[in-house]
Amino acid sequence: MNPIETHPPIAANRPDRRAFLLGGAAAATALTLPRVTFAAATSSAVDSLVLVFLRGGMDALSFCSPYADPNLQSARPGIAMPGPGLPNGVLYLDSFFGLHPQAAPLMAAYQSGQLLIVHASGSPASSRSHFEAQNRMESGASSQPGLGLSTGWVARHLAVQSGAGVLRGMGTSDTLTRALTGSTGVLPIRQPGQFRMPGATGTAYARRVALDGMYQQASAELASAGRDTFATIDLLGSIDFQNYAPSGGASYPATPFGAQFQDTAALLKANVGVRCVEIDLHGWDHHTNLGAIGGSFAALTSELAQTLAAFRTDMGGAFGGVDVVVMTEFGRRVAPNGNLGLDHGRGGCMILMGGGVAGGRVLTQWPGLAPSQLHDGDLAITIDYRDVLGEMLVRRFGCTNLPDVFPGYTPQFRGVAL
Amino acid sequence: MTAVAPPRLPLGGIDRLLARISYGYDPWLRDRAHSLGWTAFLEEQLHPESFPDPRGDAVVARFPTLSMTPRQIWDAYGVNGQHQVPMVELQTATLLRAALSRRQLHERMVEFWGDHFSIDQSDSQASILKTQDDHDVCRAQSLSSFPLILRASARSAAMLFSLGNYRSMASSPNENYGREILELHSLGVGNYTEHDVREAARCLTGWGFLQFGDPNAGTFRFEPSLHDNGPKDLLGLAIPAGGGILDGYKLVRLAALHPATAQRMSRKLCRWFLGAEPQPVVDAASAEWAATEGDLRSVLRIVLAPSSFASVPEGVQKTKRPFHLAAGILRALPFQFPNPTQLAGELAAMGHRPFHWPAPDGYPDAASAWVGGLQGRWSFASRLFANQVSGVRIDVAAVFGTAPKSSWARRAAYALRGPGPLTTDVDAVQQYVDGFASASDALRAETLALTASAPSFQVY
Repeated sequence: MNPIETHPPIAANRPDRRAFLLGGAAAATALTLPRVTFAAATSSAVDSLVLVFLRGGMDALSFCSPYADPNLQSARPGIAMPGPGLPNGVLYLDSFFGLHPQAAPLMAAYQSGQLLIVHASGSPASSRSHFEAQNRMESGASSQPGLGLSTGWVARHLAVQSGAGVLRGMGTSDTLTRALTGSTGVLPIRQPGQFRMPGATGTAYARRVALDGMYQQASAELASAGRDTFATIDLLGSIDFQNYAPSGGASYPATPFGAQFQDTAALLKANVGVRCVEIDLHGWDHHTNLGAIGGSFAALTSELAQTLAAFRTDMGGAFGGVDVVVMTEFGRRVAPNGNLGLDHGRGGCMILMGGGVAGGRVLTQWPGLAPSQLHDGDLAITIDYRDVLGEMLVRRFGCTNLPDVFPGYTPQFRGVAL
Repeated sequence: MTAVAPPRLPLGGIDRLLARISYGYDPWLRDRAHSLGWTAFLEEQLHPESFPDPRGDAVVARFPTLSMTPRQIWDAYGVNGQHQVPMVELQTATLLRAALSRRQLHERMVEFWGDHFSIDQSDSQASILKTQDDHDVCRAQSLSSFPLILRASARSAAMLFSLGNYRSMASSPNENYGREILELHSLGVGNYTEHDVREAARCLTGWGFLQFGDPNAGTFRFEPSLHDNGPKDLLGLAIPAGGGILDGYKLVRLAALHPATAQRMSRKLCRWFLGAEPQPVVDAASAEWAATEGDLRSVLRIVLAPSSFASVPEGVQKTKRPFHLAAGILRALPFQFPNPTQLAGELAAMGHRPFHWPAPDGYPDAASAWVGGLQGRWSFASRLFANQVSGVRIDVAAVFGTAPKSSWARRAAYALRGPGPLTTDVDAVQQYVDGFASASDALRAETLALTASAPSFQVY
């Protein structure tokens, strides 16, 4: 196999030269507002997880480009991102990696040590099928086949969480994703501001009284579901999503993704015991015209970065108790296809952002881009996604049943969490 | 089989059978069941081709893609990116057929097979191919024999696509389908080895379908040059070299008739129809499976016998899945659907858009997976009866006629559930109605919505 070089991480609390040079407000904040404040405030509490799944397979080499890899240009003719300082060039993260220019809104979080990119990560049992790869990743199944898990890793974690609220978890898709399937108190709620008694407002209370009475008489299971539902209606009804004003001048993109993050901020600030919200962003399956500069990839990256940055600003001090985990089913192939696009690959990246993240660096065991270092033409995977999730679960999200969350696999902690 | 004496009926009589093999009450089917009696009614439902189904046929006629080949769907919608058209047509038609067809047991089996051989329609080419799979596998073989339906599924382009077998070849076999045909479609986990998975995958190498661009796109095709023609050793059976396509057929038959499959499928059918798995019924059904080589009608006669219902503890009820709930409401009431574009989206909002379970194991048949979605059910009922679901019109006024307000809850319950004992839910709904001084259309709609939202209407 290929020799694996450990890429030396830049210590989070030692801002590099670039951060000093930037000198802007963000960098100043990063230097004067020590992260330790956040850490101290939350060390004993359990964080909330905001999970973002980038559906379709995000191209990690464009998002976080290894500009100093000597084989980048030859491996990605025509589509490699230009290095720092060049026109459309990536933003300097360290002497090896650069961030996509449309992800610039994330630099503040990076410079204050709250953003971590885990590169060349993924599932060793990955498949080139979106369907299979997403399912395997979301179920948390071991690469050892035949486990046949029908529940998801988030749900197995949430199911035994003590001290969570009525609503432990929430998915913002039409149906619960595989990751969220299998726990009580986890509901698919596309628009939490709309989760109320349906029908005319004038008769809502009376209808509710009638329904409540009926469900109290019902079988144990329906009675319990009725209680959960009324409690969640009350819970969400107590939060004014409609008139919610983001703090700190945060401005979310006017997209469903942005709106769902804004709702999530309102929900988490209300501090009602919600431990996980999943928000997905679709459209990363760039087989034709990747558009890393001025195209589709750039637009999606911009939407992602603006949203995450707005969320961070909006959460302000409370951001210490929230960690965002961004993942995707696989990375894309290293070399472009005939349509200036990229087919399905293997190694990708995860993005972690939050007060509990040991960020300000790119964590990787860089496998390299030379032909002999690729895995069937793909970026090799050197960090199992469960190492990252497992550590966050235990250190930040109060997980006590990790062997049930990732059966058949023992995550190796790599220092991603504070 | 000739019945000398009428069978001893379980508590609740034939209405128990009716509730479990249909999507709910409608006057025609109830009259039919009561006039024919248990055995003859079940026999009729087991032979759906033996009686006309004008309303079911009318649904099919409304959705052109249902009668199109994959090639025709591709040419009409695939090439210009309108994949949503065949997908939504199939989803909507599935709901409307469940609501309107007289062949209710057939429709319940179609749903069963749709989950058993689950295919996620949103997965690329499956959007075009699933329509054919629905027709040729889930419907055509709904009540035939298990070896036949398993074989039809193994030849289905949608299945071969979604589990990746169409690219499986001797030099690089894809174990995905080889595994699922053993794990999900037949024996079940624990009854085969990893070696069997590899051998099953080898048996299926070369099984694929004609790709889009071919005049007969979507047709099953066995490609001998991609097949692993070596000897195989599957589930204890030696398969000699040079079998070609017969290797796959041997696998299908072996898996379909394996004792573990008989047990597992009998159990699954009991859960589907009885809501319980009484071991004597499972054993009797498994024995019948073995004796008849998986003849589905024979097995269902056992599962759906009066004595099987009688062996289920009293009070065991099944929770309707959202699809079942929606079909049941539409089934009970007069409605028109000039342009039912929003129905599939309503199912999606309740988490149950047909053919959209992302894993190959199908939507769960367990209450725990569904009871979290009550608010979605209540919203659906509210919108539907307020005629806010575009393209569908429920005739709310017809349910109540000129009946006085004081009888509305009973009227609504009768319309949705048919004759039968009144539940306490009816009193609660009437109490709500009584709280208003005057009658109004809005109150009529709310009366129906509350009745459909009540716990007693979430179970069957």
